[in-house]
Amino acid sequence: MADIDKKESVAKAGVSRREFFTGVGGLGVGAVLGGALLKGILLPDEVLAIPASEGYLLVDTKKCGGCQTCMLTCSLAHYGRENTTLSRIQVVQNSFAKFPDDLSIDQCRQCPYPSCVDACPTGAMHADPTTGARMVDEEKCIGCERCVNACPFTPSRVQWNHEDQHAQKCDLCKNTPFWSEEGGADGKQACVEMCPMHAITFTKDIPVQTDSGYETNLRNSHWGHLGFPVDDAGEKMPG
Amino acid sequence: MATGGYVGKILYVNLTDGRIEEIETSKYEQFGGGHGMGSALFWDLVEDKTVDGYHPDNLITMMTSPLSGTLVPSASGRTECNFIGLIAYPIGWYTRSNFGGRFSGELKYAGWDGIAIQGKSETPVWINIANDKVTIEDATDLWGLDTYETQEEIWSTVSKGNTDDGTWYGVGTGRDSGRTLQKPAVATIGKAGENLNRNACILHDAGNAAGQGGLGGVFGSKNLKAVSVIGTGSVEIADPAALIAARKEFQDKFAYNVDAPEMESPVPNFPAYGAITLSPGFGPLYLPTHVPSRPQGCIGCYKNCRRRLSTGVSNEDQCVESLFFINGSNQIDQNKATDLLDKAGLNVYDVFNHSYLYALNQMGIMGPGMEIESSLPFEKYGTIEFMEAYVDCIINRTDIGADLAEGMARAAKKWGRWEIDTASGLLDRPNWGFCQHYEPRLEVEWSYGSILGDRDINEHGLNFYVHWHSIIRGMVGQEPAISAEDMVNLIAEGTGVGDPMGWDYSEEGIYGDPKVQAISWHRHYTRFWKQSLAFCDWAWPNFINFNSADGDMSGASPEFEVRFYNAVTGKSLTWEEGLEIGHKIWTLDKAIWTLQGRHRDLEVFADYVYDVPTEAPDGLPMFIDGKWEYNAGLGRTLDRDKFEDFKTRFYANEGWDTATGWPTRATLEALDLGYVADELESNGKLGA
Amino acid sequence: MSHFFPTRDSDRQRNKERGECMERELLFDSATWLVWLAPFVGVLAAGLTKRRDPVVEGDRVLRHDKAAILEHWTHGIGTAVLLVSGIALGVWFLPALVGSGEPVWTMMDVHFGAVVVFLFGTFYYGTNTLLAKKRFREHLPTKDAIEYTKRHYGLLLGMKKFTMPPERKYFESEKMAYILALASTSVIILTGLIKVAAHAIDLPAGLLAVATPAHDIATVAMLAFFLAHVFFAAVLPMSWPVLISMFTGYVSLEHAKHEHRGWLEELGYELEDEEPAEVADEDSAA
Repeated sequence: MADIDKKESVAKAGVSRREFFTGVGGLGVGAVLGGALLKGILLPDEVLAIPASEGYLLVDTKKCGGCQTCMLTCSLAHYGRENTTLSRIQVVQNSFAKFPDDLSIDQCRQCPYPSCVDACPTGAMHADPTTGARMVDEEKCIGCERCVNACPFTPSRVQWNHEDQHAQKCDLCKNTPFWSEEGGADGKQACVEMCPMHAITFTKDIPVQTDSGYETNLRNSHWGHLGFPVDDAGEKMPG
Repeated sequence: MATGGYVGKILYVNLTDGRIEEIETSKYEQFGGGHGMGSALFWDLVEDKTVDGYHPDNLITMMTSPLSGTLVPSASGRTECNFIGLIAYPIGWYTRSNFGGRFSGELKYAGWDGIAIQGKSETPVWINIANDKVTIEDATDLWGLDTYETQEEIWSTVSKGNTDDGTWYGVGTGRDSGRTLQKPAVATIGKAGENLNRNACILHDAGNAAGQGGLGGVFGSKNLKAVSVIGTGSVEIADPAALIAARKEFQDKFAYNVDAPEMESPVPNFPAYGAITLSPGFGPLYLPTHVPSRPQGCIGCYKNCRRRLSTGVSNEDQCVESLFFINGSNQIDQNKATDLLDKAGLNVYDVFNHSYLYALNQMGIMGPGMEIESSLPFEKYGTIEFMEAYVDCIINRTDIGADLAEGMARAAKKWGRWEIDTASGLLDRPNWGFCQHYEPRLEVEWSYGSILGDRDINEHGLNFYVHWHSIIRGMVGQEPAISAEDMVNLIAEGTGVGDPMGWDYSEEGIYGDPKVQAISWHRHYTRFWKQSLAFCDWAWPNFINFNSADGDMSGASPEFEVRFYNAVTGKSLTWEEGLEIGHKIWTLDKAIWTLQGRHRDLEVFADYVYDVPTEAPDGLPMFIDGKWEYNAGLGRTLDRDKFEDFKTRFYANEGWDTATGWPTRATLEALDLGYVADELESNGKLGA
Repeated sequence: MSHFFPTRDSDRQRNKERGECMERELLFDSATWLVWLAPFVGVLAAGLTKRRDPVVEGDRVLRHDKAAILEHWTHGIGTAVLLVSGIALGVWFLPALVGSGEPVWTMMDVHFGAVVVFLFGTFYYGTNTLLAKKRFREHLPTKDAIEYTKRHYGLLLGMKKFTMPPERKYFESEKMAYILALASTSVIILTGLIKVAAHAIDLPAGLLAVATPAHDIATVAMLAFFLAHVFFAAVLPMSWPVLISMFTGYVSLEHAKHEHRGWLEELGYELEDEEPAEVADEDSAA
C-alpha cells in the first residue's frame, strides 16, 4: 500500500518532512560522535583547580570524654533532629580498650586535594566559593555515593544521609539552619562551641597532611591537676 | 503544636510465646517516660502484682525519656528499669534501677521509647533490636560468657564484623535503612545472673550497671542473656535552636571549665573534689589515680564522670564500684577487683560488706570448723586473692557463696546473724536489707526516702551539697565554699519548697513539719524529673553553682530542667506540674507495694538506727541555737516514736491513710488513678 | 582500634579486599555521550524506516508493522528496566532497596543501559509518529471517548447492559491512557536529561531541586500506567491475541470483527450486518 503520509508531507520548500528528520538524526549522530571523539582525543583530562579550605577542625583525642555531645550538636544544628548517624563528626569508642587507643574522633580533614569533590559526577560535592569548605549541594546530589567511597580515610568522612537521601559531610557549620549562631569557616563551629572537654578546636592554617597534623594537644596544667596526662602521647602521669 | 522527644512506640516482647508487639507511647505520655511509664505499663500488664520476682509474669521495663539521645546535658544517657525485685528483704518489692551509657540513645534512634519484657524462654535467648526489626536469638553460645565477652560477641554479630575495624555498616538491607559506626548498645548478664543470684546486675559497656534489686537474676530467670539495640533513625526536637542555645548557656554558666576552672582542688589528682566542682573523671572518688586515663561520659553528658585507663582495667567504673576494694594496697588490684564484679555481673552494693564477713571470721564465727563453715582464705583478707575467691564463690554458689548469692540479708538470716548484727550495727543494713549508704540517723532524706520506698534510694542530688561539700572541703583543709545558711536558702529556693528548715538535719529538724515537705518534694522530684525524665543523678538538680564566674552561686535548677524539657517536647510544662506527676508516680508505686503486702508497720529501720549512736563525723547543715552550721552530728540515734509520728504526718501529706500507709481513693482519683483505687479496693487494701 | 588516620594506600588496599572498587566509573559519567546519541539514532532510524499500514490479508489483519514492534519493545523494555532500577535506587519518599556502594553503582549502570534503549525507542517512535500524523491521531481520544469507555469497562466488569462499541484500532479507553503515558514520558525524559546534563555541566541547584522530585513523581505515574498496561495487555487472557500481534504483527480477522469494527471499516473491509458480540475481550492500553 502506498505511504499515505508521503503525499501529504511534501513540503513546499522542496524538502520532505522525512528528509528533514533524517537530516536532523544524521547530523545529531555525527555531532555527538564527533564531539565525543574530539573530547577523548584532543582535550586533556579536566584539571580541577579547587581552592583550599579556609578552616580545619583539629581534635585532641586524649582529651575527649566520649560523650558524643559534638555528634548530637552536629545533627541538631544541621537537621533539627537528633541522630548520631547523621553527625558529620564521629566519635568511635571501645569501652573495653586501653586509653588512648579506646577512642577515635573521625572528623573531615577538608583535604587540599579532595577526592570526594573529584569523584562527584555532578558538582554537588564542591568547595564553597567563599570559604573553601568542601561541602554538598544537596539538591545536586544524585545519590551515587562515589564521594562516600572516594574519601581516603576509614571510616569515610562523607556519609549517605539515608533520611534525606543525599551525601553529607562537614561544612564547618556553613549551613546550620537550626543554630542561631553564624557558622562556617568565618564563623563558629557547633562541635567546637559545645564540646564540654574543649577537645575540638578550629584553625585557619592548613595542618600538616599526616596523621598527627589533625591531632593536637589541647591539655594544659589544669587538666593535669585533675590527674590526667598532659604529654602529647598521653603516656605519663602529670607532676 | 510541634512535638518532639518521643519516637512513638514501646516494644513488648513475651519470651514465653515469642510475641513481639508494639505499644503506642502516647497512651503513657502523661507519665513522662522512664520510671513513670514503666510503672504504668507494669500496672496494666501484670495481672497479679504479688508474684515473686522470679515468676515469668514479672515484667521488666527498660524505658527511655523524651530527653534520651538528645543534647540535653546529662539527661540523655540513662535507661530506667522497673521490675519486681529479688533482693529487698523481707519482701522483694517492685523496684527500679537505672544505668547510663548509650543504651537509651540507641533505643530511641531505633525507634523505641522503651522495652517491656515478660514471660520466660525455654532456652537461653538474647533480644536483637536493629531499628524496627526485632528478633529473639539463640543465646546458647553466649551462656557462660562474661559480660564483656558477651558484648563483644554481639557487637561482632550485629555489625557483621564492622565494629572490629571501625567501618560503617548497614543496619538493614537497603542503604536507606542507614549506616552507623556505633556499636550496638548491649545490656547483658554475667554468670551471677545466669545462676539466678539475687544480687546480680545487668551491665552495659564497661561500667554501666543496673544493679539494685537484682535485675540480673530476673533476666536469668527468664533465660534472657542480653538485649542489644542499634538504631539509625532520628529523634525529632520541637525547638532545636532553643535547645542548642540552652545547652550552651547552661554549660558556660554552670559547667567546670577544664582549661580555666573558677574553682579547683588545692591538691592535685584528687578526683573527689569533682563532687563540688563537677570536674571530669571524678567517679573514682577519693581514690587518686596512678595510671594515665581520659574522662568518659554517657551520651550527651557535660561532666564525664568516669575514666578509661591505660590499663583497660576498671574502665568506666565509679562511685561504690570503685570503692569495692578500697582496702586494697594499690590501684591496680583495686581496679581488678572492680572488674571482677563487672564481668560477673554482680551488684557491688550487696557484696560490699566483705569486711562484715572478715569481722565474723575474726570473731571466730565464720571459717574452717567454725559455726559458719567457710574455707574462704580470710588469712589473705586485704589482697586481691581474697577478693577473687570471694567473688568466685558468690557467682558459682560455692562455700558461703551459696548463701551470699541470695543476698547478704538472706545469708545473715540463714546464719542466724541477721537480728543480732543489725541490732548492733555490725551489719549496717538500715532499710529493706540494703547496705547503709549514707548515715541513716543524720542524712534523713536518704534513709526516710529508702524506708518509705523500696530500696536504697541512691539519689545524690542533694547529697553532694549537704553531705559532700563541707566534708571534701575539710579533707583538703578548706573552709566551706558556701555557708550552711546560704546553702539551705539556695536549696529551699531552688526546690520551690521555700522553707530552709526542710534541710535542717539537727535533732529537731529531722522530725519537723518542714522536713515532711522536704522529703515529699524529694520523692516527687526524683520520681518525675530524675527517674522518669532521666536527668542523671550525678548531675541534677543544680541548686548551687560552685563554678560561678561572677559570685552569684544560684544554680541552674529549676529553670534549666524546664527549658530543656520544653525545647525538646514543645510542651509548656512547669516545674510544679512535673512535681505533681512525680506525686502521681510515687503514689502508683506505693499502690503496687501495698498489693505486695506493704503496711506502715513494715516501714521501720533496723534496730541499730534507733539504738546505736553515730560515731563517724558527718558535715550536714543544722540549725542549732538559732544559727546555721555544718555539724558532725556525733552521737545521734533515731527516735522511734518521733519517726512514727513523722510517718503519720508524711502519709497525711501524701494523701495516704495514716493507719496503714495505703493510698486513699480520694487521692488516687485526684491523681487520675481511679482504676488503681478499684484494684486496691477489690483486694481489701484501699486506704481509709 | 586500628583505624586512626590510615593512609590513602592502606585504605585502597582495604577497599580492594572488601571487593569494593574506588576507581569504578559510572556509565553515566564515562559514556554520557551515548545518552545524547540515542535520541538522534532514533530520529535517524525513523527517517530511514519504510512503514507498512494495516491491511486485511485473508483471514488475518496486519496490525503492527516491524517498526511498530521495534518501537514498542525498545520503549517498553527500556521503561520496565528503568522502573525496576529506579525503584531499587529509591523513589520519592520510598527508601532504596539496594545497599550502599557497589549495589548502587550496578543499579545506576543498569539504569544507564535502559536509558539508552528507552531514548532510542521513544525518539524512534516519536519521529515515526511525526512522519505519520495519522498514527498520532488514531491514538488520540475522540468525542466518543466517555461513552465508549463507559461501555468498555462496563463489559469488562461483566455488566450485560453494555454492548461492545464499534471501536477503531485503539479503544477509546486506551487513547485516554495514552495521553497520560505521553505526559509522564515527556516529564521523565525532560527531567532525566537535566539530571544527565548535570554530569557534564554545572547546572543551578534550583533546577535540579525541581527536576529530581519531578522525575520521581512522574516515575510513580509511569509505574501506575505501566502496571495497568501489563495487566490489561498481557495478564488478562482476553488480551493475548493482541499481545501475540505485538510479536507477529497480525490479529485474526475474527478478532478484529468482534472488537475493532470501526477500524475494519476504515481499512475498507466490507462488514456483514452482524451485532457485535458481547464479550469482555480486551486488549487495552497503547
